[in-house]
Amino acid sequence: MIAIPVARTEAPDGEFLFPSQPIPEDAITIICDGEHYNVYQPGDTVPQE
Amino acid sequence: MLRGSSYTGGGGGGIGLPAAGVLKQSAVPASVTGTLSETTLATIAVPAGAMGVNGSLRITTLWSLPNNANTKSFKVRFGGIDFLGYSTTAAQSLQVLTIIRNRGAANSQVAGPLAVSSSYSSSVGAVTTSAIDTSLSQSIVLAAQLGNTADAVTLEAYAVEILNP
Repeated sequence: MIAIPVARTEAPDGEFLFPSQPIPEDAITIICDGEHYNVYQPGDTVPQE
Repeated sequence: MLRGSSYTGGGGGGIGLPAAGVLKQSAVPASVTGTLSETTLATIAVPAGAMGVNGSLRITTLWSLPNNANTKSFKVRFGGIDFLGYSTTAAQSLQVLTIIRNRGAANSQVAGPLAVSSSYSSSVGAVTTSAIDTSLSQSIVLAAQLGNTADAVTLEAYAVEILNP
């Protein structure tokens, strides 16, 4: 799992989050927790919902 | 003609590429939780000129959400303009088709109403119009926003197709 920090920008209707780096093409699950985009790749254990 | 995995041009029609194609498609789940800020869950680049002057973008999104009383909002944005801005509370899933059509010019578009969950029903909302210059590269942003940080919304899948006559 890799953690990509969120980038923040102000939009007219509030704060807007986006990944500070591109999401890897081999991602199998992506979870943004408000601070990071946690990117799971093949071989990683994906958290259960 | 629709082309699938062999399609690598990223556009079509007006610049001599195939008439239509899948620009990007994914069923990798992308979720947001723990924040009340609008959060990008996918970004798709639309190459310059990929939409012909009478071309369309057909964007299909599938979402999961918790079935509770908290507000959850869903956005499809193209070229900085919202083409879906829908909020709901008690539901478990949502699939939306967003079609953005050039109107005989690269910088004039029309699409369905902003705040509807069904693309094929009547609406009290007016159509959405815009003046995005599709002769330039533009981005599609798929985003969600929570009303309660304990919730989670998932972009389960999406497909972006370019349709050119």
